[in-house]
Formats: sequence, C-alpha cells, structure tokens
Amino acid sequence: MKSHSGIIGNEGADHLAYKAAVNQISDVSLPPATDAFYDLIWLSIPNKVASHTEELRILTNLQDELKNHMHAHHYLGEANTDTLIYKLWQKLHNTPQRAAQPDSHTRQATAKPLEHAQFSNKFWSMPNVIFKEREQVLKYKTNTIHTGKHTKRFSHTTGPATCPLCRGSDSAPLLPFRCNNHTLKRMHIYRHHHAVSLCSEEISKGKLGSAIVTMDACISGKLSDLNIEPPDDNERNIPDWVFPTQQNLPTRHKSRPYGVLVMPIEGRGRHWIPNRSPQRTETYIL
Amino acid sequence: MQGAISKQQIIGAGIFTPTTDAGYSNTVTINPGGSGPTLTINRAELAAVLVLVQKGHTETATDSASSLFQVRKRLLNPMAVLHHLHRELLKDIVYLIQFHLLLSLFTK
Repeated sequence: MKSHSGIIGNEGADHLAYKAAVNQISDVSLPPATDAFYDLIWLSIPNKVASHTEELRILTNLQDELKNHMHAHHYLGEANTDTLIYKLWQKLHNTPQRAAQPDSHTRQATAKPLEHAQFSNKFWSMPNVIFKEREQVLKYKTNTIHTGKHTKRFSHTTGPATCPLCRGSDSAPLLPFRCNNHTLKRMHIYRHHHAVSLCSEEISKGKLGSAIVTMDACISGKLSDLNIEPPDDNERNIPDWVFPTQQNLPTRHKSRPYGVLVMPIEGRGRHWIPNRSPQRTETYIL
Repeated sequence: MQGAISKQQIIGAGIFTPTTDAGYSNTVTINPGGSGPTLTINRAELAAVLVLVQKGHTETATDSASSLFQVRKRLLNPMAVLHHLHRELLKDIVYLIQFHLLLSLFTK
C-alpha cells in the first residue's frame, strides 16, 4: 500500500510506531542487536611507531593480483576430484579408450573426444547468453548451486534442508524438474516440451529430418495450448523395440530418450513404421 | 505494520490490527532493539514483520516494499543476504515462515 495516503490501518500503525520510538514504551521488546560486522575481518600486522608504541598496519588487498596470477590449473584448488560429477565433466574431453586404438594402417588414433568441437560447448560462446546465466549453469553442473542442502551443511539455517514450496528434500536436481509444487511442475513440463519441440523442429529442417521416428513430448492438443507447434508426422510414444529387454519394467517410463532417429541407408529409403523394429543393418541414434 | 525513526536516532515499530474477533482494534508497539549501525528504519520494519509472524498472523499489509524484498531474497537466495545488517531478524522471519506457518501473505 502507498504510505501516508490516508489508509486507516496504515496511519494507525504509523502512529503506533512513532509512539513507540518517542515515548520508549513498547509491548514487545526484541533483544539488542549483536555486532553487525563480527564476521568481517581484515588482515593486519603490528607495526612499531616509536620505541614503546605499536599500532596495527592494515595489509593491502591482494585480490586483484591473485586473480591475475591464477590460471586454469589453480581454479580447482582443494576441490574433491573423486566425485562422479567431476569424472563425467572430464570424460567429455577425453577420448574413448576402445576407439582410441591406433588404426592398423595409419597407426594413428582414430577416436575423437566425446564432445563435439562445434556444438557441445556452444552454450559458453553464444552472444545472447549473459554471464549470470553461464555462472548459474556452471554452478548447476558442478553441484555448487546454493540449495537447502548447502544451507544446512554450512549451518546457515537451523531447520531441515527442505524446499520451501514442496517441502521435499532440497537439492540441485530438485530445482529444474523435481519440485512437486503445482505451478513449478507445470513450468517443468512446459520447459521440457518446449525444448523437445525446438530440438525436433531444428533436426527436421536438417539432413536428419527424415530420420525422426518419435519424440518424447506431450500430445499435440496440449502442446497447442502452450503455443508450441510440434513437427508433423512425429509419434509421441517410444516404440517397444527401443527397450527390447525392459518391456514391463516401470523404469522404462522414468528414463526414456527425448527422441529416436533412425538413419536411412542408401538404397533402402526411410524407416516409415515406428512400431516395427528396424533392420539390423540400420543405424540408430538415441 | 509500520516502522519509525525519530530525530534523536531512536527507532520504534507498531502493529495495527483493525478489527479483531472481539470487535475492537488491537495495537502492539515494538522496541526493535537496534544500536549504532543497526539503528535503522529498516530494522524497525523488519522487527514489526518478525513480531507479526511470531504472533501467527498470516496476512500482512505494509508500506515497506524494502522489507518484503529482503524477506523474499532471504527465502530464495540465502547467500545473497549472508552479510546483511539485519541478517538475524531475516533468519528468524524466514524460519518462522518456512517451518511454522502454512501460508503467509504479504501485501504492499
């Protein structure tokens, strides 16, 4: 509400606050504030001014010099490099061992790193992505984004480490897709369908356009409600031949590919029937 | 709910509940307890919010957008207010909102 605009409740509260400040009469007294700067420290060394007097000399700020001195190898610091996330991160740059065997004719390693030189890290150099977004993605990827789990670990809260919206265990995976709050769940579903639709649309425009068999998005009616236009002639359901050994397992519906592309082989034409298993000689990209 | 600061650097806060179930207005005056750098109007306003949530009120009207922003910031991004001047008040407010109340509606 706008202050000092004649609202009775606001004017009454204003009067009470003034009365409490001037008359020093209060119904409720909060405990005195502790030192607001008790946790801020600055390094200093004793410095002799005269024969018997000594005063503290404040050390200079070396933050800028340290930043200039740091290079890529220093960034890790004392970070734990035995974690799964770090290994997966490094795996992107490494070459698969099986494929790294030297070719019998050329005696040179034929394998390439898992990451694609042009597309895999395109996000980091896109001009329309701001620094803050890159920072957040990096924090999410390295599991250092601040969550209730970290708040609890660093003793910044006395309560349990739960999400304030759904009261579930707060962690990095909960932020993008596991919160059970109704509004957030709709946001997650919308974001997922939008991303899958965009990817499928882009693929359908390229040379692999005719290879799309299915895409994991919602039914077209719901997508149109969300102003998303899925590509034509795409099946939603993942065909059974993708999971030949997990037909009836519940995990099949929890972990499934976003899309299935079946590469056509020259002279054979397109794989038109999604429910039919492709021939063994065809190549699958999941 | 309101905070005030006088010319002698003394702060106070007040809560005005227009009509209670008993049929009369309920008033509460608050001593925010600040000193030195913490003797600010913002402390008075946050103190009023803290007393409100301590008393179990779930609907609050205030003219202090600053307090609401800070409570929201403490809820959604606790690290951003790690060195806030009134971090203790914010911590208590957020703790009560998160774990004691079912729903809190703050209105500016």
